[in-house]
Amino acid sequence: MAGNSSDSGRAAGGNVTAAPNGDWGAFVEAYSDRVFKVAYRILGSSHDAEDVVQEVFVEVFGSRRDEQVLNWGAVLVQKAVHRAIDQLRKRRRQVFVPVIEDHRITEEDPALLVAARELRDWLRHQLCELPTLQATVFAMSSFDGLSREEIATALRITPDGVSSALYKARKALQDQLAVAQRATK
Amino acid sequence: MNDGLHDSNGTSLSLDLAIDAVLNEVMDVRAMERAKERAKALLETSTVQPISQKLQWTAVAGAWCALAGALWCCLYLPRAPSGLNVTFLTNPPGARIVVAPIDPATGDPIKGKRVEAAGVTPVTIRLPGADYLVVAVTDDGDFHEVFRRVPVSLSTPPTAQWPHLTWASVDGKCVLPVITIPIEGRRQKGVVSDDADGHIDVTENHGVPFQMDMAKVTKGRFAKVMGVDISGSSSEDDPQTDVTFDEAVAYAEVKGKRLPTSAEIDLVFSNGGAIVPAEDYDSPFASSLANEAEFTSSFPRRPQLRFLASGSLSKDGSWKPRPMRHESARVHLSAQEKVNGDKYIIAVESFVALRESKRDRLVVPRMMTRHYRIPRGDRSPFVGFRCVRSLRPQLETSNRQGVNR
Repeated sequence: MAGNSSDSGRAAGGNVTAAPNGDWGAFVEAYSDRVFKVAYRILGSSHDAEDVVQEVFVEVFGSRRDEQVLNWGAVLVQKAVHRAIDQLRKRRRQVFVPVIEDHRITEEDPALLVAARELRDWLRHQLCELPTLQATVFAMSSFDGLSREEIATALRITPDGVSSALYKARKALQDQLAVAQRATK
Repeated sequence: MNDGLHDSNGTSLSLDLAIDAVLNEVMDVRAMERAKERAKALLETSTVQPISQKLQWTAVAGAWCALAGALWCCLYLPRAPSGLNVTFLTNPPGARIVVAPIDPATGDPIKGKRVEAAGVTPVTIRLPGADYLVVAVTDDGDFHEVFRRVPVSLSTPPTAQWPHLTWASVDGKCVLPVITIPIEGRRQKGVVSDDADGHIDVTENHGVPFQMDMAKVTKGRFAKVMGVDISGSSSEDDPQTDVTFDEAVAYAEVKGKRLPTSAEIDLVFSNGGAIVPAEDYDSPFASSLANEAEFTSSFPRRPQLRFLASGSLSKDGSWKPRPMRHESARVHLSAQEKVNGDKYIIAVESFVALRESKRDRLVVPRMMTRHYRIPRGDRSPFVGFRCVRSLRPQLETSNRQGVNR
């Protein structure tokens, strides 16, 4: 599994100790790609991911600045994951299924592309079914590569709580995968 | 078979492969940059500063006061008559005109706000700025349904030169592009319509009966009408893709047709209507649709639905596969469905899902549709379109002339 630890914003955001006063341009520059990526991985839609990026930064901009934040990257990712999962759940209740962006020209085998797309759809769908904490921990860990301690700090829970939630999330997803495999055999 | 959960050797796939599928999905770099620029611009231009809880309540109270003031002004202050004098021209002249504003939230014409011109073209009506469905009807019963934009002010320049987006200011009037009404006799002789693939008539289960083209607009036909050079293109018979919504609307208008609504697409392509019953799939029309099949959705909630290549089902029940034309368009633009004003257009993807019946081992093709959201102005190699024509006007005109409703 790819951890994608070289995402932009990770190095810059590791040890910021105060809220970003003043240079919001540099702050957005440092973290927006990372926020976009994690939102896109959950939603599968560029347009929805764009909206999440905007909402996350506006929320941070409007929040209290005397708050000490140890890891802005983790906090922004956590906010993005929450919003993205909310959107994903709202989308399920809508009549219209939003766009699945697959408009790229590719030389790859169409059957493999379809298989990958179905796996992505399946995982996104199952993410909605998980309890919020499990879904959040799973997405922060799997889609952004955050460590147990980073997730614990951002969510204000203990590292053991993170491990427990992550284990339950993976177990539930594996179980669902096994059910789906049996059904298609 | 590769169904997403098994590889070609039948080996079970793990959760990590599903995560990899998400992580390895190619993202739109332009969208990422756009998101960054949007966030930067918003924060840099924002006048909203971080404020305390008390100030937030003050701001809310102030907003309510402002709202109440605005409401009072709307109710009690005298208002100048709004709108512009809009002139409609038709070819041939002498047609009755009836218009209805398009609801920006749904894209549907608001028939309750229809306005019929007093007289025949050339005729002038006072209309507020909006997008309109315009129906022009001759005394012979020939008609055309087009879209036209009326600006809020004549000082506003048109955003594009397509007939449905442009206007001219003449002597203080807003003059809209001429509506060329196709003559039914010419249509039947194939002078107006060169769509040799035929069409399907839908006269039941729908408010206004219509004819939908059997095939999507091809590169060759699009090039002929729009004057596009397609030399070097793979085939003139391939569906015309990489086309914007507005180009598709303009093409349909020239052809004397319009783009289908999403409801019309759903009716024809889903198995909910009488056109393509799920259990009776041997009509020529249904076979034609099957040729456009690509893959299933809703995996794996409906495990019976499987990925399939294109093909058609013959009358004897045998499935004739054919190579999947991955470059073909599967998505249909819907003319009248817009979300958030001009920001997004709803498109509909149609596809065939195979449902395997366990009882008698029959493979039953089933047409399904899925709604997409694409930004207006975007082109895509996966988006094409087809045209429809109403068999009677969506907006009825009065038999009497000079009636304003």
